[in-house]
Amino acid sequence: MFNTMFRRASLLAAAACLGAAVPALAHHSIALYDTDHLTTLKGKVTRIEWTSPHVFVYFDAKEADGGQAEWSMELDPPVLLRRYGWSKDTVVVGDEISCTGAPAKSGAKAMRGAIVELPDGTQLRVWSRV
Amino acid sequence: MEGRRFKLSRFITKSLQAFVPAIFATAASHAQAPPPAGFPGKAPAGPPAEIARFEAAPAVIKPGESATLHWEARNAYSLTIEPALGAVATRGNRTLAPAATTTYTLTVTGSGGTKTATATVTVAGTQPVDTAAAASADRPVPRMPDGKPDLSGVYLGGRDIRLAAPAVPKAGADGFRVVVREEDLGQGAQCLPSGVPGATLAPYPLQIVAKPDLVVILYEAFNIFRIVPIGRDHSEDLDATWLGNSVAHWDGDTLVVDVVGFNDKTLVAGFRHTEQLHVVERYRRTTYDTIAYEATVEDPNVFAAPVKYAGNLALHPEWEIGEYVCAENAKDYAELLPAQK
Repeated sequence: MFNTMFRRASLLAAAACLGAAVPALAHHSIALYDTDHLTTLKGKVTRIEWTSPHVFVYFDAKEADGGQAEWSMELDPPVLLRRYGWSKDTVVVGDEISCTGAPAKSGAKAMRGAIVELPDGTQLRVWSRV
Repeated sequence: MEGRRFKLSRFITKSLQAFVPAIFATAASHAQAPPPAGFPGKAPAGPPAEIARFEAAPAVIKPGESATLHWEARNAYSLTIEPALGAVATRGNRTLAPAATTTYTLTVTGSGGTKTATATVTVAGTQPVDTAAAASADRPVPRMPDGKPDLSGVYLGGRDIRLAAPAVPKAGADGFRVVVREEDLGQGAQCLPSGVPGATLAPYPLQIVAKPDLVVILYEAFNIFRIVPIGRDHSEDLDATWLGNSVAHWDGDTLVVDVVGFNDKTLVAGFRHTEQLHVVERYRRTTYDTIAYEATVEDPNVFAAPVKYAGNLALHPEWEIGEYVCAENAKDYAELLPAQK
């Protein structure tokens, strides 16, 4: 799954670099993510934005070529995550996590998260649709 | 850092030691709901609901003493503890003073099924309570002083509200159909609110505050609200608004809410609409825990027949409506958009 993802991401990332129209500030849209091809990436958490309308977790993902790059993962907002059992300290900077979600169709290093897995194997819901 | 960490792993370990049979002797009877209409892809299978902790401390007491139940779950849509507590929040504790030995059952429901765990408070020298008989009796529908049903409470509609009659455009109105393209950020993408009944379809709870002469509906998503007077007519001079102008009347035990005065900026069942949009909602509290909800949507410029939604609003007394300030961290999604050609 990783290899497929990265081949695809590489091709599309090149296309994305050519430039894109800049919309006004906006928030979530599922249409921007490929929900038919979920992918899983592992990495160390670098930043967390515990905010509405969505929580964002940034992590340095280990890539297929041995390098790493910062990815962003979009999650449900705090009001929903708390009902799933999260608190703002459930995942903190430096944690190694595994993120399963829908990658950006554009090839940007971003995903709409569905499940976060902690090092001990605990899986956490991060999307109201799962 | 350890102290700040999610304590699930430790609770799981403890729970496994104490409750392995209870946790895993589970009937997976709750099938995962299919994705709602309009979801542009497949909904992935979610992580299953799990019980991280359920215990009584102390587990043995003398008559007149109290014990505290501690619980924690993850990934659950709902939790109940019976007897005595009913719906409870994701994690918490409650001190109880049972008169006799009582076995409490925590039931969590989520993606993939329902799981249960038990915790027993032994009251020395007493016979165990028949917990089946002691389970919360069906509570009656609460009533207002005037005898009408009291709709007050925090409810979740969300994925339970389904299209009962799909949108069919009238001849020549197919242009109102929303074509989802990659560059369409979709309704709400500018932090603008859903309309009616869209706000009820969101996976966020709403709170109904009922008074004899009006109902207030507070929506967590976008932190928007509707004030619905009962027994009044619409004003004649209405501005076009996102949530329209609502007035209500009682039809027996059903609150019927008539909504007009919409702008043309929201979506209904995959269609844009005009300011002629007219929505009639029906709220009937069929049980203590449930409001049967229906919405009939008409727009003479768009639909050949009324579009209908129906489903249940499930009471969640353990929840509070939270803050949702959409503009707090609205992102510039330029990098997510497909490249321009």
